[in-house]
Amino acid sequence: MGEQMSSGGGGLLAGLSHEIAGAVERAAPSVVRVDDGSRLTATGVIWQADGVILTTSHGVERDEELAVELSDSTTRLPATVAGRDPDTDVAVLRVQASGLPAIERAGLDDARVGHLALALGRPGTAGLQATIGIVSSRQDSQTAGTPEYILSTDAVLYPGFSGGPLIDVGGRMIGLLNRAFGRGAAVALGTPLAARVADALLTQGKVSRGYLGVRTQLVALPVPLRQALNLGQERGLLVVGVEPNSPAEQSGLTLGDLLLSVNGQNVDDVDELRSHLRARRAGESVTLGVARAGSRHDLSVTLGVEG
Amino acid sequence: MHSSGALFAPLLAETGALADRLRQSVVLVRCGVGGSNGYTGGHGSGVFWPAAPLLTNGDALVVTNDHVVAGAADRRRGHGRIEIELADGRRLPATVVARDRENDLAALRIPAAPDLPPPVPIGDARNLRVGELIVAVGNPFGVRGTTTLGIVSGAPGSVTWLDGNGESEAYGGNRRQRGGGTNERRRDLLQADVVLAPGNSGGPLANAHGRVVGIAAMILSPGIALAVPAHVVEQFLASALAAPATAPRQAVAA
Repeated sequence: MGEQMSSGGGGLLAGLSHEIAGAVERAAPSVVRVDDGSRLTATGVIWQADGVILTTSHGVERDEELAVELSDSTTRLPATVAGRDPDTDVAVLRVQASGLPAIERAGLDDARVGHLALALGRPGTAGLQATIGIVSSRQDSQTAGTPEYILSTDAVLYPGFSGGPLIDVGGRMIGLLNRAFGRGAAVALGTPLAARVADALLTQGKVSRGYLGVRTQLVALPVPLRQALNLGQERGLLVVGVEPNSPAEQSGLTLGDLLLSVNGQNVDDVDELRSHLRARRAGESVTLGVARAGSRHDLSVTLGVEG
Repeated sequence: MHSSGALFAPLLAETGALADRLRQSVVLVRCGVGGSNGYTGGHGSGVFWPAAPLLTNGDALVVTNDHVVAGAADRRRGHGRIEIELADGRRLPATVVARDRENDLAALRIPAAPDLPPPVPIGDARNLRVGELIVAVGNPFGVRGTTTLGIVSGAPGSVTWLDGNGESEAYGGNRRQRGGGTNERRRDLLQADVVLAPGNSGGPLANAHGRVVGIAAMILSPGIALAVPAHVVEQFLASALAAPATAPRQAVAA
């Protein structure tokens, strides 16, 4: 390259610079452009060599006449939607091809807060683009006993980056980027989570999650009730609607019940309830701790399938 | 895995040294229109660029954006004054000796003086790979010598700029792309995710070796910065200053 070192340099910065460029080049062949005919194209990741592409659902505005443009900026393959999961905003596409360069996936412990991370995308016709940041946060969770995580990063996500990979300095994918998911923050669904959703979409066309069939509202629990029932929590979920023929109705849950816990764990906001349900499959049984007319009840519910 | 500090400390030391060297050659460019009590115009950044062999009388050369000096350099609008402020605080008068509106570049001549900062070493943006580190120094919001780090985000030459008939804002150069303009032209621009702000325009972007590969020109949003590549600056200077002259001349578009 012929670049001379500036005086006093030990070459570390140049070495780091080359490693980062190398990581980008390693992952680049697996980053594709998803064209749904709208003005804003999306980015996608080659997930499996036999033609499975991962991207975000919101970036793919229709189900027909889709095309995936490979890293050579020339090969355009017609694509179909194998499935969408609105909950994680993931879509899986299929193209007729084999031997495609699938992205290398990082392991569960490879993404730590503070690690350098690169966001890759192919927005518009500008070719491969990359931005740099660190892993700013990592939220761990479990689904049916399998550990997963969600990351956020301070790397700038350019428009059109959603659906692309967040990679580490080894060029391995640590997450699937989504600009819209985090309400402006740059969020990446951890690779294990993306893998689980992709598997479910490929085999069943959707992700089945535990479904209760209840509408709730967060309320502050009255002090006399808390004292009478010896409750440690300050808030609970008031049941304001029960879907007909739903698992909730079948369990005996009714309008006016105060939902306090799931399987013994206090629930004091709607997101917590949702994450309890998300973590379970249809057919699983859970115990709901409920306060009704001043006394405590435990209801057993068999979670159903989200419609 | 390395123990903490094994790489981090020397890496930071190197980055700090690179930034210090750059900063000493970065100036604040102030433009005013009239006024006896100082400058009321806009400001931006500039950097000392190698003057030889273009200027032969010992004068120094500062490169900045055309939009930074546009208000003061247009003589028809009255007495425009331009001064630069060095990193050590010294203020020196400057004259515009060349302008290139299409590439958004301007060259300022600084009369020879003792202890002027050295010009920066120049690199080649055309060799850059996506992912290479970029260090930008400038004066965002007037905060002197602010340094930011990012990477090359788009391959050099991959940015298409649609030159519509809209004027860029004189302050910071933010501009929206307009579709379907009659003057669609592929401008050779360097794209980096360094976080720049109004006031950074005209300041240098350097590679990991400390060589300047571009001049900040446009901020599409924080984290999306476009810069004029060094070779475009060199072409502008060579054609505008080919013959020694004391009068400012319009640069020939490359």
